[in-house]
Amino acid sequence: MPTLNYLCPTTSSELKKILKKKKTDSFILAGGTDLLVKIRHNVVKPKEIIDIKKIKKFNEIKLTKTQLNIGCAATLNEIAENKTIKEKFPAIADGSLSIGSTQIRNRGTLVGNLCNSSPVADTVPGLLIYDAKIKILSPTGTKTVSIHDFITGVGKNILKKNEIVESVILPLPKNTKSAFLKNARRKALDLSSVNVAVGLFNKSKKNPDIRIAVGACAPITKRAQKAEKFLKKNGLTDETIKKAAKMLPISPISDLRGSKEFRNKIAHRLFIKLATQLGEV
Amino acid sequence: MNKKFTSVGVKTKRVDAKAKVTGAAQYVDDIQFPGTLYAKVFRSTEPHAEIVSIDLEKAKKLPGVKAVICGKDFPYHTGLYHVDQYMFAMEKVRYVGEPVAAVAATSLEIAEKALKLIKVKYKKLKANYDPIKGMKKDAPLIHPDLHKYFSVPSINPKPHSNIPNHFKIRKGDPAKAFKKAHKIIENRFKVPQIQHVPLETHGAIAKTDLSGKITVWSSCQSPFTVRYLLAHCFKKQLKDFRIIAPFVGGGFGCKAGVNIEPITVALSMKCLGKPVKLILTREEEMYTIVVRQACHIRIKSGVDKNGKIIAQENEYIWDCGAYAGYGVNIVRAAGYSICGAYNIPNIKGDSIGVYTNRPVGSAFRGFGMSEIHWAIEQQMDMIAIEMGIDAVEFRKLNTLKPGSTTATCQVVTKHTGNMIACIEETAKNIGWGKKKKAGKNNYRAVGIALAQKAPAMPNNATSAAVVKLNEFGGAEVLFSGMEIGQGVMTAMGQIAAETLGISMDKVNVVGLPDTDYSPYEWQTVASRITFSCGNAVKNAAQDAIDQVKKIAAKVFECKAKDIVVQDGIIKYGKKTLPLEQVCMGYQYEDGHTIGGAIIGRGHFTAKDCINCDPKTGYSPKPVANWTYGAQAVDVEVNGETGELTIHNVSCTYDIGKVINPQGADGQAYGGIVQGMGAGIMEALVVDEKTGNVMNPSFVDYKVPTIKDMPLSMTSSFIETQQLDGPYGARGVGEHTMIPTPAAIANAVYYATGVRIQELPVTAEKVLKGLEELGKNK
Amino acid sequence: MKTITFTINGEKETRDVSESKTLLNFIREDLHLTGTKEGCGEGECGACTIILNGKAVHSCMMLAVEIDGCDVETVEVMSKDGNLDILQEKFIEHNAVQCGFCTPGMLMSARALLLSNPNPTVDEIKTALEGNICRCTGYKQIIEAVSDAAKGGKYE
Ligand SMILES: Cc1cc2nc3c(=O)[nH]c(=O)nc-3n(C[C@H](O)[C@H](O)[C@H](O)COP(=O)(O)OP(=O)(O)OC[C@H]3O[C@@H](n4cnc5c(N)ncnc54)[C@H](O)[C@@H]3O)c2cc1C
Ligand code: FES
Ligand code: FES
Repeated sequence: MPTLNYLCPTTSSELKKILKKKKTDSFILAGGTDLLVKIRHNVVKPKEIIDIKKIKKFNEIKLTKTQLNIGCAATLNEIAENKTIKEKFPAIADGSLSIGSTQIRNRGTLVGNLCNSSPVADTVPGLLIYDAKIKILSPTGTKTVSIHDFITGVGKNILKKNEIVESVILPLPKNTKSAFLKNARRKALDLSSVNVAVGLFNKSKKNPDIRIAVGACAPITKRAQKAEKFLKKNGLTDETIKKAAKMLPISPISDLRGSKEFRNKIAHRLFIKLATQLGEV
Repeated sequence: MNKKFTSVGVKTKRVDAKAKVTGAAQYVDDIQFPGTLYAKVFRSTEPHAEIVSIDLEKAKKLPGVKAVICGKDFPYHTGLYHVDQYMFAMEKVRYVGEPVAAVAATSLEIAEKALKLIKVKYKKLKANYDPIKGMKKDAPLIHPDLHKYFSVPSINPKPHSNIPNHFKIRKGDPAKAFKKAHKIIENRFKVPQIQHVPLETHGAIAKTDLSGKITVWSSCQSPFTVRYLLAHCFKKQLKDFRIIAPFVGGGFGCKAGVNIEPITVALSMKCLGKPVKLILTREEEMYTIVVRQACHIRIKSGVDKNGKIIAQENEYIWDCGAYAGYGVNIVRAAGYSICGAYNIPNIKGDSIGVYTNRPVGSAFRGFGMSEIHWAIEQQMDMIAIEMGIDAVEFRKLNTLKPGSTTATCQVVTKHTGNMIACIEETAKNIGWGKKKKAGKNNYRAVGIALAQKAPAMPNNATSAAVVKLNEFGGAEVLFSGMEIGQGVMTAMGQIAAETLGISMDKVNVVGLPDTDYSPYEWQTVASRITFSCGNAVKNAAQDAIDQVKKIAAKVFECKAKDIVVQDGIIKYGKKTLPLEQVCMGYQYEDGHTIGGAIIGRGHFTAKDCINCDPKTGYSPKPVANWTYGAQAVDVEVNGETGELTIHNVSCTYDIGKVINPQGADGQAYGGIVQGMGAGIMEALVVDEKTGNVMNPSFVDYKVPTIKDMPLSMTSSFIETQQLDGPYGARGVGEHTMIPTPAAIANAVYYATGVRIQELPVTAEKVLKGLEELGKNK
Repeated sequence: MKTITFTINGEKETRDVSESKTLLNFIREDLHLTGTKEGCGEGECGACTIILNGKAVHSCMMLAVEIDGCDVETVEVMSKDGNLDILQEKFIEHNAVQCGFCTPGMLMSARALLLSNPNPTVDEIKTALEGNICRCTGYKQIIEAVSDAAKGGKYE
């Protein structure tokens, strides 16, 4: 690794000053579990690194009456073990728990997973079904955007060079249940061949408010709106679920983690399994 | 043998464990010398090309760079059984990753920078990745000089072809027997290249001092072979080299011969007085270090009405990769073991190695047996099913028994091993024949497979040991079987303690060889160390104790043969003498002393092994011994995703005397899980457009984690004494991974009807099979 | 270069370190604690596992400068006073060690587990060790060793 400048602000105002001067060869460091791999393989060659973990409030997972705030330095294991998240956002807790290994989850962050913007990111399907909001901090202040607008391509997102994600905001849902499933080549420590999150946001089997996101099957993971609408209109039955499976917005590629045919099949099956399960209980 | 043992056969804690759990154990990269230079290797980016020019000048000028070298500086060959490789590519490169040049610099960063300044021009040649194509008459030659290469006598290269070795078995009259057969069953199978994945990558440090003496610290399985090959390669004397082997973080065959040592040595010769360190990154390890050979297999079997196999044709076409210095011997081993553990009177067998432009194939735990058993053991099930015979019964009917003859016409005796007992014990432990309960939408069944393997080594491969008694009545035990995790240090300590009649805690096992001080050992491969090195240690200890008895006989005024040594006490009738009073010579009360420091020496070479006849493969004893075993696997198949869960594995091996029961269990469990990796997830993928390995890291080359391992494993051992083994022992290190993949595939078939003939048995293949049968859920 | 202060195996240290150095290289090359190993350098094998503020993490996936103000433990902490830790004893007793290259990382993961969860189930042990590849043992004896060390729930 070439020489680097390491900055470690302890307050947001300090960070803002740093962001103001931030150049394109300066990188944000959260858990580093993506960034250090990229540096090792010369995918990125940072001249400067801004470590955001020492800013206290960035580490918080905070519950208010209406929403849950996940700070950008909260680790995946903290999220996976958080009672509220496990209860209210199981697809996010399980998505976080499915990432890497204990060591990876002790360092890696959900916000890092999001900002890395990989199509296989395991927390993204969960964030999509809960309509997460992304709070962005820049030298001039903060703004909030929808998760649906955040990722713009493989490894790309809307962040400008002097912006960071400060937190992810999850509106507290009522009457929901959700679940997440991942298919990989190995039973631990593997990237997804397919990952799926499904949530049911009301108790109606007839007009279910169902939300679906399938990852690792397209450059950008998106909500399966067509399938959602179809089910809302036609109800949740074995048959409608099977039909809805055909409407998933997926166009997988063939790679070392599976052929496109395999991924298509698995996406269908995982979706059917989750939707059926949620419909049952 | 009903003698009661005190060390051998007793559950014994590993003697190296304390060093390993505390972090004290030193591996090569842990050795940090001041003034070390760091090496990096410039590697071919072409799978097959002529080297037009190499420009090292810019790299040489970079500040901090101490040496930049390439083939013309060291135009030397390396190779163990078949000398076909230059240490750096000379006229041609033959695979992506082949060393072309190397750099030593004051830091790793500078060395890496220097690599970028090296410019090599290539003229591309057509690459071939398919051994079947490579065998054809008009195939372009990857080694046009094959006819000029030196190979050892047991290897048969075919001049002006891509075939560095062709081993033939011609037993009986298969053509005639096939005509008489009730049924003929023919199938094809495939095995991909896989990586050994020792957790420690290859590493070496070389230092050429100002007097010219070259010391090498290397993560290697065979320090003496490294020394021998280095001396050959650099055209020097053995005394010019000293190889020191620290602990090795796993080998599994890939550290058997020489690898990166010559490059490190060459660099050190250009930087006199400085240690030069080369540690491979995981990525380099994955695509530039030797791999297990791929194999294309065809088996045709003829069976009679009773289910006895009366004729067989076995064809193994090995993808040796770009070089076959070691691989040719795997071709040979697969040849003399051609039909596995079965008694077949008429055999036509061909084991053929073929050069391709893939990574270099070499020794891998099982040495060809894992690969061929993938096919043999599925073929046996396929015949059994066709004949309507239970798979266990079919194997019992056809397997080798006393009086049977092997492929080379060696006669099996009751001392060779008891396969029937292995099969029965395994079947009992897994609950063969009992239905296993599967989860909703899932399928579940048990599969079985057998294994046999012999040490594949030259007939004159020898082991030596020295046992030095010390002032406290203990002993230093010196040998050069390498501790690569298999527990050799402990086993050698036990054998020495048993023979000396002292307790284990008095034995100082000096297990890390230094070729200047340690006794000779050919190689730590072939599951031969317990057997061969164990015999050497036993003989050395016996020699020491004979010397003790000789002195004691004078003291007791009796015959040496009437003396026993037990628990460190020398005994003659009621008279006793503590061992320590004799170890350095015995001093009488008046001061006069007889004898002196006792050093026992021992060696062992297997007797009466005969090379196979090149035309027929005939040999009454091609190998030192055989180890037999059976393994059964209980597999559940997810009907929705094709994913496999391995519930239970049970295995039984006939390893003669079990020296350390805990160690033997460890070899069994470790082998099963490594076999499982090969069985369900491992394959090195080469992009046939570029020759690049597509999965050169753990991101996409997956080995089993703790969550993948079988939910339960049991191992048992049959102890048919090996007549010439130390305390009756024979080897087991490799055998434990041989049957696993085929047993899994057989289980998947019984569970689902899906037959997977190409490794690995991935969820994707199983799911596809389920769909074809309409059985997916 | 940056000056950092941290606790290593119970002792406070202040050092200058290059900003671009990984924690793994710092531990091995600067602190000369070579028990911690590199098996992959990218978070995939666990050989480099250390304990940072009580949690098992990969030292290859961190910059050394990140430990400023932190508490770091490496395998060497476990037998600092010359006595073996119960986990180390159980690893020996159950033959959970073969080549030994994964062992320091394995022990660190197991220690971090038992420090936070003194009575783990087998599944919890597997989750704690899922990031530690062992190519030799087949894991069975490792699980037995950790289970046995946890007996009584008094690990410290
Ligand atoms: C061995 C291994 C296994 C893995 N397994 C999985 C897996 O199973 N599933 C999966 O989805 N991922 C996996 N990953 C990837 C990675 O662990 C996750 O994406 C993790 O969540 C990243 O978080 P981090 O905090 O470590 O990110 P970092 O590496 O710190 O950052 C990732 C990227 O986002 C940027 N960034 C980080 N935080 C911010 C912020 N607040 N604002 C703006 N930009 C920011 C960084 O500059 C960097 O480009 C694995 C990685 C490894 C090494
Ligand atoms: S070296 Fe850090 S995980 Fe492999
Ligand atoms: S003991 Fe060798 S990798 Fe675990």
